[in-house]
Amino acid sequence: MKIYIDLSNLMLVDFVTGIQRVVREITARIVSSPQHEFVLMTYSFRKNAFMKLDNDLFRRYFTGEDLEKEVIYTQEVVDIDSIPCGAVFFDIDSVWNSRLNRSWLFPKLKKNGVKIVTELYDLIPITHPQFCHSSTTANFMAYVGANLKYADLIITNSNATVQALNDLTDKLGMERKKAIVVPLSSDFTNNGSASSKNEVDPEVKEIADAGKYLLMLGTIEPRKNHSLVIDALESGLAEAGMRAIFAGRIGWNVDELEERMKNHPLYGQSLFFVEKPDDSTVDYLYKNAFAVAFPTFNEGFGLPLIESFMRGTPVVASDITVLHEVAGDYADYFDPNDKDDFTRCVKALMDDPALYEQRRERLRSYVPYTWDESARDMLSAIETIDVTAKKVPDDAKVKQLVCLTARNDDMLATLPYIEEFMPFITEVVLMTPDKNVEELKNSYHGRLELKFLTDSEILGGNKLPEDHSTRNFFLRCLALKNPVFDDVFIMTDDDYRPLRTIDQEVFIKDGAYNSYYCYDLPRWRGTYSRPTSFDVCQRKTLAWLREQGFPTKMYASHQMQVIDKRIFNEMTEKYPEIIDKGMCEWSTYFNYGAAHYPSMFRHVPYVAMGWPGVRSDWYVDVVPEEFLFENHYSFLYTKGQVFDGLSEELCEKTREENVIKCCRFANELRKQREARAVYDSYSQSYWVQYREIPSFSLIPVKGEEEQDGIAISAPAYYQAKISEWTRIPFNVDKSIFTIFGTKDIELSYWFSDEDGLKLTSAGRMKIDPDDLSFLLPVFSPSCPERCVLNIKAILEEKDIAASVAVRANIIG
Amino acid sequence: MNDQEMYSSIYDIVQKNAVDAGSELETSKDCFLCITASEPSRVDVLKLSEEKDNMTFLRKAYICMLKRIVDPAALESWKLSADLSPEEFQLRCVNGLKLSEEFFLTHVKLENNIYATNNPVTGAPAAAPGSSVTMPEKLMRMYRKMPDFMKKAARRVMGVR
Repeated sequence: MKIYIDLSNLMLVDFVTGIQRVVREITARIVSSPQHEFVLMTYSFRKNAFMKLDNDLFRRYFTGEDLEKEVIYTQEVVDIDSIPCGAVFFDIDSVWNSRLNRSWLFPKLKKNGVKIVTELYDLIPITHPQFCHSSTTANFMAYVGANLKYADLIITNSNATVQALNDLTDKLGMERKKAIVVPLSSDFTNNGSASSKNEVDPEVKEIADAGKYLLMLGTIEPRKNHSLVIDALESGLAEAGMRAIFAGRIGWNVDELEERMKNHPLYGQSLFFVEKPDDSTVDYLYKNAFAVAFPTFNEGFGLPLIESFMRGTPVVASDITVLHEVAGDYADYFDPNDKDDFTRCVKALMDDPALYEQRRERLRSYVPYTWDESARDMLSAIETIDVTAKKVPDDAKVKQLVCLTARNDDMLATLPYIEEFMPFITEVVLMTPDKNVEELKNSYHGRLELKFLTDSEILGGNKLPEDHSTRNFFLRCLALKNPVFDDVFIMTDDDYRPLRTIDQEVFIKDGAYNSYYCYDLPRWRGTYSRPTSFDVCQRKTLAWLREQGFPTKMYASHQMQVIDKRIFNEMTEKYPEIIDKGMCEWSTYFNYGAAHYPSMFRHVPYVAMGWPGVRSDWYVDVVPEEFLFENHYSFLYTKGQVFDGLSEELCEKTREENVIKCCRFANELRKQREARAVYDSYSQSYWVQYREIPSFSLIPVKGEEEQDGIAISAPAYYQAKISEWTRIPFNVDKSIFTIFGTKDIELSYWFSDEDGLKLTSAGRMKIDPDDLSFLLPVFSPSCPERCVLNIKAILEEKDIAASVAVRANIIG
Repeated sequence: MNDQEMYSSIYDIVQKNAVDAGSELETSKDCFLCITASEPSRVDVLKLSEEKDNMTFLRKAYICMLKRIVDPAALESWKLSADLSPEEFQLRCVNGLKLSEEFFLTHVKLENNIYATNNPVTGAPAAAPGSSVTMPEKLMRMYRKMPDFMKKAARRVMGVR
């Protein structure tokens, strides 16, 4: 298992306490585990990526070796999208205030099929927001929300936190999260950690040695209820000879308390504050305290209790559920809202030496949880989501190909390719309209056994949806219940053709199904602003996948793919509501599979040519490393097109010509990449110059005499490759539609010279009110000289227009 | 439940907890939802500009551009401009924050910045009316060979500025 850990906060702080201590102890231990590969990282906002840490140096530094912290950093970048499917992202650090907000990061990780495990220390900002800084509360709410939606496993340190988590999910009406309790340890002095080698601060030693004291260790903050101890000192405890030492750092919203403490007449006599003590000093304070006072209003765990027990120091603690769970019978309890009860509790120990001795004696039997045990159990918890568990059997054989077709000509032209290039396929199931069956039967005489499943057999009385994508998904969902299908088969369309001889390993390899993806669904913008049925289908699918917290890769790769009928049916049985919603059959299935059976699905870049049909259609984000299939478009074989002069049907020359096709199509993609590189370089330079990404926006403006108008906001200049397509980001302010009460906006765009003469013909497109952020396909002129990119927007019914002319550098 | 609905419900629960304890959340729900949706290194100014309440816009701009909640001193200072029209306020706010050293250090990229000082709407001159008028190809070749004064006259005739 590959486990990624973001340690940004630990690496940032110079004072290790509380959560940072847990992070340090656990990480330094698990990183040595030979069973797994660990990638320790910090987030760099400059790069918007993680930077890798040196595992060995991390461990050595945080186990006390005399090193500079800086040596732990490396220059190796870990791009967020490079964290692979099946890896685990283990969030153990206190990251809710991180710039890399989990509400943004987690959907991105899930999109790639990464498993998320979070150590959740408490839910205090949710349950008791009054004790937290407003900023922390807001960030924490976002952090918890992201975990509720996307985490695969929550590890907590107490049942009380699990209960709080369950209460929250119940209130939200969400499914409860899988949660495992792993108690924490506290033996931080035994690991030779970086700060434990220091000498005890002599000033602190002097204070500690001067008499009995109650120790309160931890950040000074309202929730910890330090005031109660001061109140108790004032009302007799000091007079009785008890002192109090507060050790920790000054936290949020304690100005009043700090002032009260530092100006208190008892300050320096019975009341002391030790700021940011090191581990050795903390250890000394614990060992020599009369008792540890823990009057907190709420905790996730209560580490000071355990730390105290381990040193044989009695504890007086708030009478709250979580502390009972952690401390059990080893502590004495009081009401945190009642100073008299606290005083009673302390005085009972002060006034009765036998009782006090009994408490200390009792602690000798206390068996602490060690950090080694905590780390071991935490790793075991992570292993419960083992992603390597389930595999496709090695002897799995595929012999069946399944095709949904309503076009006999296309199907009959494709079957010979299957016959020729897919020797392992012996049977083809054709899902087709009833009227098509006879002709297919009579026209095909090859080696493949054809089986038919007609629309009427599939529908069984159900009405066939009109929309193309809805119909396809609906039919497939219904059909796959039919016993005619093997458990595992190859699914295809009637125009997906193999290009050369392929074997089963293209689909099933090393115990996993190869799942060919072609895009990230959230980035899919379609060809133009006006979405096709395909684009709408992709959007619906993305919305559904996001709602379920599933990965969001796009698998509509226009090529053959392997399907496990059992998993497909499991999905449609679990989510019957999707069947007639026009989802993408490929992306729903493969993302569902990636979420539920990550070890059974290997995600590989698609291997189809003809998708996109032409290079101006859309930007290829995932570049095929090879072409094994052709998404057949007849128009590509016409004059002037990429396959001009090559044969469209299987013939003697097909193998040779397929090699030529691969070269020509790869060349098309190369041209697109080159044009894109010019644009990307321009975008980067523009950002450096203006701190902005260049883009165009259509916005409403107040015109002269307060008349509403529209305008096109544009970058200062534009740059593109000569005679090539570039797709430029264009956005439309949605309020235009409400202000002007029209849905009819047309954009036209062209290049002219500086005198306004057209150098290219004008492209035109209608803006779709449901797609206001799109990429405008612009073909740059053939003259490598300064020219102007013109864009004009017209609200047709309203006689309102706006235009913009942007200086354009056309690069040769 | 989609993400925004979930975050919205969490906000309501926490707000109730705060009120029950005699307190209330200082961050508005709008701003909280803005936090949950903000990207670490990009801000879509066009999307941000949909907020027409000036002070809410300010709070959101701080979250998105400076990655923090607006501090009380800044809030007081911006309140002096609260009566400006949303467009004017947003223009000042985005450019004010953009020019700050703090913004420079955040390495945040502005996307769809409709308030950029270098763009035609807010700064540079807009496109010339009539610039879409096209000369026939033959005339264009002739035009290219003309001396400047003739080009000027030809443009006048063609209605091209």
